[in-house]
Amino acid sequence: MDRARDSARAPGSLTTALSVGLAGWREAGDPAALRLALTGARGLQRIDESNRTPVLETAFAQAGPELAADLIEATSGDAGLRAFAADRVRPVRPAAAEALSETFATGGR
Amino acid sequence: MAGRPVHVVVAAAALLVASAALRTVHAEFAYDAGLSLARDGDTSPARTCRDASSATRRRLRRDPGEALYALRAAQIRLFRAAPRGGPVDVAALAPARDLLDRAAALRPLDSKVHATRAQLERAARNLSAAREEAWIALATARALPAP
Repeated sequence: MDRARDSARAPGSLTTALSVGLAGWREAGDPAALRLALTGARGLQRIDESNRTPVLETAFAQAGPELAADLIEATSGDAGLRAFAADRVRPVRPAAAEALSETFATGGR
Repeated sequence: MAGRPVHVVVAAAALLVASAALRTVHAEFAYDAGLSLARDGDTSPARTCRDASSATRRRLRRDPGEALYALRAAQIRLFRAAPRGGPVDVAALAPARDLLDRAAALRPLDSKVHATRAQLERAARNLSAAREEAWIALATARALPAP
């Protein structure tokens, strides 16, 4: 269902969401911008355009110690987005992925 | 004899319709010319941009009611004002913003218009406005029928 929904989305809108979201998060540290970036990246993965999303892992790798907290806030209320973020952050920042997984286990935000 | 004025009116109406059709055809030709320039890898980026911009101006003049032309003209201006990896000419973003406003007025639910607006606001470092436009682009793209 989600795949069908996202396949209707223009890839350009998803790519823009990813790049604008990452810029907002990097420059202003705004978790709401990170949510936008994650939503764009998840949409691109759903339409088999994952080749456009390595910038996400690069941004995670370069992020400061606030990464886990930002990810928890950015994915608040959306378990699917949180699972997606955990999958993407695990290879580059396993500790942040662990923190995200703990919020699942404890039923956190 | 009495039918002559009717013939004149009909002929004038036919001329008007033909003229309107011709304007759209010319606008389409200019649009295609701009697109092929943008895709031509052998043309220098500076010439591509100048010529494509000129083509978009022509087609906008010929068919100002077509949102796609306003959008493409805005994208070319945005590309010139904020080249990827290059310095941003903030003052030069204003005409692109005006063209996007026109495109949005003509087609408020076009995700490409909002995505371009998001890119423009990002270039202008209006991050909050950029984020808002990007969300609108996602929402409007979701409303599109599946390809």
